[in-house]
Amino acid sequence: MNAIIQLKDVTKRFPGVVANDHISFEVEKGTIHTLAGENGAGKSTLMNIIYGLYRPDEGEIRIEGKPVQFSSSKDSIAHRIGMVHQHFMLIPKLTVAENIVVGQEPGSALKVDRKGAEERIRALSEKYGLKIDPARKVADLSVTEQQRVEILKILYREAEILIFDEPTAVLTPQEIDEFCEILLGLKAAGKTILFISHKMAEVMRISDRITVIRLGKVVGTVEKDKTTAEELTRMMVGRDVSLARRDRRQFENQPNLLELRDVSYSVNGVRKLDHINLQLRAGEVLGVAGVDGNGQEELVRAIYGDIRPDEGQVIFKGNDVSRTGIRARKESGLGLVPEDRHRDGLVLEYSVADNLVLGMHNHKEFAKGGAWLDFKKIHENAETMKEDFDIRCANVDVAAGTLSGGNQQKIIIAREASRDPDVFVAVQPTRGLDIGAMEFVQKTLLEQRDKGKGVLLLSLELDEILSVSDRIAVIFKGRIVDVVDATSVNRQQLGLMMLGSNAAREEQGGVQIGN
Amino acid sequence: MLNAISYLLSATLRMGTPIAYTALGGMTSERSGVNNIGLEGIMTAAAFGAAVGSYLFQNAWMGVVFAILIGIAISAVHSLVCITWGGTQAVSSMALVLLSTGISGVGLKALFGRQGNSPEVPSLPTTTPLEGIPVIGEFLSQQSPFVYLLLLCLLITWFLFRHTRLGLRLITVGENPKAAETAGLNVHRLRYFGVIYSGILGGLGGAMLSIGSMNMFQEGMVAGRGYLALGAVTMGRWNTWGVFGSAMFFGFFSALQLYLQSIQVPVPTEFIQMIPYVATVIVLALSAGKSNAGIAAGGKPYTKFVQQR
Repeated sequence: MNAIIQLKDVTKRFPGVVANDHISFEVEKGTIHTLAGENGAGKSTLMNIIYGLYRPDEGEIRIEGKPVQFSSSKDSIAHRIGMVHQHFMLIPKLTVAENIVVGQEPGSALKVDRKGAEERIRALSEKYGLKIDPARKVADLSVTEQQRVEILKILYREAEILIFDEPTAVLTPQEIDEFCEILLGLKAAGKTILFISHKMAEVMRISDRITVIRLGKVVGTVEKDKTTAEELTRMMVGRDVSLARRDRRQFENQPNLLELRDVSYSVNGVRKLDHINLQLRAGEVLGVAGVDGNGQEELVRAIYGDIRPDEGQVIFKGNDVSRTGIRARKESGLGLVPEDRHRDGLVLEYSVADNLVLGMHNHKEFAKGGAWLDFKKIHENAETMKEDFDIRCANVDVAAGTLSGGNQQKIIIAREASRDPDVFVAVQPTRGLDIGAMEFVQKTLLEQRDKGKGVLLLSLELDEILSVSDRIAVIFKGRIVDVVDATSVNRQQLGLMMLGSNAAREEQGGVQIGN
Repeated sequence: MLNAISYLLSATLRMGTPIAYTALGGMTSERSGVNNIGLEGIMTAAAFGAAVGSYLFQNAWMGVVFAILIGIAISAVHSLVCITWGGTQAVSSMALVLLSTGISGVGLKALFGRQGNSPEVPSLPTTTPLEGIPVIGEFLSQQSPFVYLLLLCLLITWFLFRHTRLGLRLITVGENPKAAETAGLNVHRLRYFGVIYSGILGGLGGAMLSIGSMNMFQEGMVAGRGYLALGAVTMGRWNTWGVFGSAMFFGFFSALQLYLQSIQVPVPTEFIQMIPYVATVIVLALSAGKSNAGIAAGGKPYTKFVQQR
């Protein structure tokens, strides 16, 4: 036993919540130690404490046996601790090398040795197989490349302890595989890794030991070899969770709530939507599966009215709405959970209560005479939503930006559901959410369906599509290549169809509905 | 013809230099993440301070020192409000503009017992040591030392952002203060530097007006040049040479306007006086939307991690 980090009774309180409640565990040198827990369980807070960005209210941290007290990240860097934050700490305008060295620039104060920096980074990048050109601008890099720049940043600072705060949240499944290899490589090079995640597949794949925290407390620390994904999930959520296939609904002769007729749309001569025909019926979940960037974004925008299709019509409850605006469509019964919850779903600076009435602020119930906001009602509404949708926040007046991702998503879902829409469009509604929140979101979608609404679910996660949908439409290069019954396909077949394979379609031979 | 060119060049330098000083300072402040709309105020107070310093010591260089000190003092207040206390930058800036205008007016009355303008003070209109240079010596010596000092400041500013450690760190705190903090930098201290640098250069810009191109302080003599400097920062896309070029562009059209008036072209003066502004609008309109430059975290106060939530 050679503990490089020892935490003893570390406690951190924020107004209204105890984010970390007497956290104690040890991390062994040269291992990958995972910290698992739901969104808002206190994982990030704890990591920020270890990295010196927050100061604990109580408790002790020992690094290599010596008690430490950090007052800024400067101190933790000096103790060879590095952290890759969930939201990248990069400056797009600057080069990779500049991003990496800032704060510890080689050369003199008057002249930063940019050439020397690039050489050192190139060497580091080769040593750990990160394949990054230090002379490029960060703005030109992909998400995975940016993440590697973050890793290089801490390797450059000669970190021995590497903290990763939910690094896989922004990655696609293939990228996650690559990322896991990088972590295993770093471990082989003798680094100690503290890895935060709530995705069981990758946790079980690379961890040596796992500490689970829930509601700010340690539930337990287990050896990977002596546990299972199910057990970990139970520890994390506090009960059994199942994301298995749901009951299907029988639907016959249900009216079409939403229909796309021959919708086409091009950007700069590139066909984004190519004669899309799609029907969403009352009381069903229609999943749209596809590899990212095959027209999903445009499809959703055409439905809620952000773009006008070049050809074709969008029929909503029997009316052609192709030419109506977003507001009119939403008022007539369209609910939308957008893909980017920060950009399109919330105003992060506004309170939870205000976010819960966005877009309904001029409705009778919240605005007297359509003009004077009724703060009492807005507040009452928020309190009800907070209970019903289990939105975890100190109170409804805190800024939405201070909540965890899962709770932010619950705000959007609560708001859209409270409009009681006939058609509920959800785009990647569970992205970045932990398993408990994911279950909640999926359950809410199914509730909408059971109320006889139509739910359109766009997701990149095949498992989600398969477990929630009644029918699945496959989109490929802007075309709907097929619409199938969800029970008639398995993961592999669906995967192949998403790549445009005709063979797969013939092979699955399932019931074809529509089109 | 040669006369015209020499006149235009000389006037361009005279009109452009105060704007260029202030714009280079403003650029530095903005790149560190703090907008300083109050440059106009710094120029006003510094122009007044330069006259006072020059008058008290009967030495124009002491006027320059006074102007710099006043620039530092005003920008320090702006820093305290905007950086340490996280106040709204536009409000603090405007308050400083009003304060500076008021102080210089009251100061005129209190120190000189006059209204409108100060008495004549020693000034720096020419650079006589350059007379000896063949051919262009005469032209060079006719320019104020402020022009040469500006070239020095231009090089320093360019070098700061191009090569130095400080420059890289200033850019980092301006673009992503959180990243800067996690890299172990002191965001607030760096921003203080950026704002105070703008105070020093704004001070020089103001001093040029009262004791460079004139020999007294007049109320209202800044006449919006602080705002033109802000325009130059945007038009120059936060790039040292671009900002300098834009400032001189404003200078050139002001010079052109003066020249056309002096040769009495048969066009109403009002139209001629419009030239610099019309040119500005045209160029800004043509260059708009070409780049998405700008400072990512500009204008937003930064609360340190430890104090957040």
